[in-house]
Amino acid sequence: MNEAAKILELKNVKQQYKVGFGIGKTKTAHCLSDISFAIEEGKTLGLVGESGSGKTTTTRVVLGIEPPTAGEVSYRGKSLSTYGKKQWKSFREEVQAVFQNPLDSFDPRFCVGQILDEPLSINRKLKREERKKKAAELLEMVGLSPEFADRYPHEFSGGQLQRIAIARALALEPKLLVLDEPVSALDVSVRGQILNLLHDLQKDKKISYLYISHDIASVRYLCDSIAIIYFGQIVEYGSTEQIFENPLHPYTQELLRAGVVTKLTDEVEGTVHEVPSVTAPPPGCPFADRCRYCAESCRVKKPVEYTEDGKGHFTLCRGLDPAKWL
Amino acid sequence: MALLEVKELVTYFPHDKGRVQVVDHVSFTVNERECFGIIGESGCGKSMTATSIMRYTNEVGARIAGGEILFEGRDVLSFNKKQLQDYRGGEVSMIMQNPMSALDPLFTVGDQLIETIRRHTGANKKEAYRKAEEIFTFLGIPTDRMKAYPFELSGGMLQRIAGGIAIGADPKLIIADEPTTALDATVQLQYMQLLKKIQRQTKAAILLISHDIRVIQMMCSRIAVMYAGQIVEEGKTEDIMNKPIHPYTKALLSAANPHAVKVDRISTINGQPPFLLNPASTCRFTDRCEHCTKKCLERNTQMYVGSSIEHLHRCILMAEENEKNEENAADRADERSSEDPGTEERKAAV
Repeated sequence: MNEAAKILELKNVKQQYKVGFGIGKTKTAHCLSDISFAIEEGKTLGLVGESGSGKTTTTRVVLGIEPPTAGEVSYRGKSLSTYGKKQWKSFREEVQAVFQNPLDSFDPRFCVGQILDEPLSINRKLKREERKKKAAELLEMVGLSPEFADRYPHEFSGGQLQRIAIARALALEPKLLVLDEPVSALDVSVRGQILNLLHDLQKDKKISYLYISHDIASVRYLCDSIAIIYFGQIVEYGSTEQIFENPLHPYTQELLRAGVVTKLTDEVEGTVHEVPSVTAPPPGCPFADRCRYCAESCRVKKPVEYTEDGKGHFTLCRGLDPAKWL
Repeated sequence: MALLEVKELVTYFPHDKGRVQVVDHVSFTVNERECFGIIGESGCGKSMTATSIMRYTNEVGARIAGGEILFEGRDVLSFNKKQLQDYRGGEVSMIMQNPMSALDPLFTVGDQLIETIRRHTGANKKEAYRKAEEIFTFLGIPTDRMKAYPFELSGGMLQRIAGGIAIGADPKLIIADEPTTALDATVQLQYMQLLKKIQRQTKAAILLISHDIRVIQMMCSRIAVMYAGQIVEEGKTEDIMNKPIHPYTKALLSAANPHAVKVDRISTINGQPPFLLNPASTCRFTDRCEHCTKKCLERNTQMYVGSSIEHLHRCILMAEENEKNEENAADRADERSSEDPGTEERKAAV
């Protein structure tokens, strides 16, 4: 990827938490074990994985809510760890987020007008009238009537609230929007409206998206490239076509299959294998228990090196490269 | 044979200005050993239908204003307290959307399963424990997890256990209200397989409620589509999926994209469902329907027969079109027989 085109880059980011209390009882939870990816200017990167895989921790690191234990997050080529107060302020203007549950992300005592006014009054030197006008513009931009400005969050449906959340995120004309499962709480009919809106906004304003989801259909619609995350690791990375046409990692294959199956087959199912514990990660591949191609060697050594096909399609599965098999 | 019959059920929430009629003259039957699905967007009344069947309406502040609910021919609405206690959990059990809030955080999951078994089958502690162990094995969960508290388990596992509790007392009907919505895609698939297995093993009927067309399609043999408190279409799964009649069903299907195929633009249903305060008895989809005519705004709707006797729908326009087609077909048949008198002679000769 062209260096100048990268708006955000994560390099070998690790995130660990201490859990438990008392001497000898504290454990370390390895939530992100090694995350590297980059988002191109004006493009959308999809981060796909099941719950507990580290998607939300990644967003927290990207947004600078918590610094990573190890590794580097850089925005426009500059590491977040070197930021001073002023730089943080401009970073928080340029990088905005939309969260999963819209009702939780608003102050219930603020009406929509105040919600949209707050970022403007803090960050922009505008008169009250100008701010009001801007708020009305924002509402129109996301397809809502400006009259809604006097209403409170509980008066809206989920789809409308998500539009307001997007309007708030757009208030400061951000360069990067972090979308953490923005449509998974919404109905099918409304989901399409929000996805179309996001699609159009990107075309209009050249915003980059980090789109986080476990819904395969919406990822395919919105994203240019996709990173599949499992147990705190990116297990596969490639363009949307590469991932959908030729999924390489067994986990990606399972994920895609689960997303599109419309008939139940009588598969033999034994004990259900859960994701391994983050406080006691297994020595080998964390996916080994669930993998249909799992070999003995997979359980012994953790895969760390990515294999690339030469066209920017990376995968972290040892089994797919015969040279590393033994 | 019909296990559960719901006839013209009306459920409402009292409101300052009248009634918010969330379930409006809903009728359907669930046969023995069948999986019947109700699909619709949030607020369409599908969960309130389930709540009415379980008679939990008073607990959530709703009232049943009319209609009948017959379970094995007995009138559920006239049950007394004792009968209700046996009915809920014993004969009809429920799997809720969010397993974390459906289970008691203060008891181990094993205890909660044993409690259901003992209350409804009269088994002693030992027998109940053994049965609980059997169910855990059936669910594919190691039996040592019986001693775990809900917070120690993942969402997928908890939902499995909720399913286990639902079959603990060998009910005849399981109502599953959005059982997979809180689960991930891969876990969702496993859970559907488990539900299928439960159905095969226990021979219970399942009433599956969901907004996910994929889930419904995989599980159910018959489907009812709900919109704004009414059933707008009902029929066999393959009829609804392949030959939808009502414009709402069509829009819902095209918005779903269950195969995750590549699209340039996602089709949507514009607008919002109406607020159900004292609703009119004309069509409720008019605001969002692209085929809407003056007739739709004036005439009251009813259920019409569609392509087959089992395929019902609530669209005036489609019903008229259907009628016209049938008339034309009849005319054509008449014409043919009058034009070609030779046919009958030939038939007679054969």
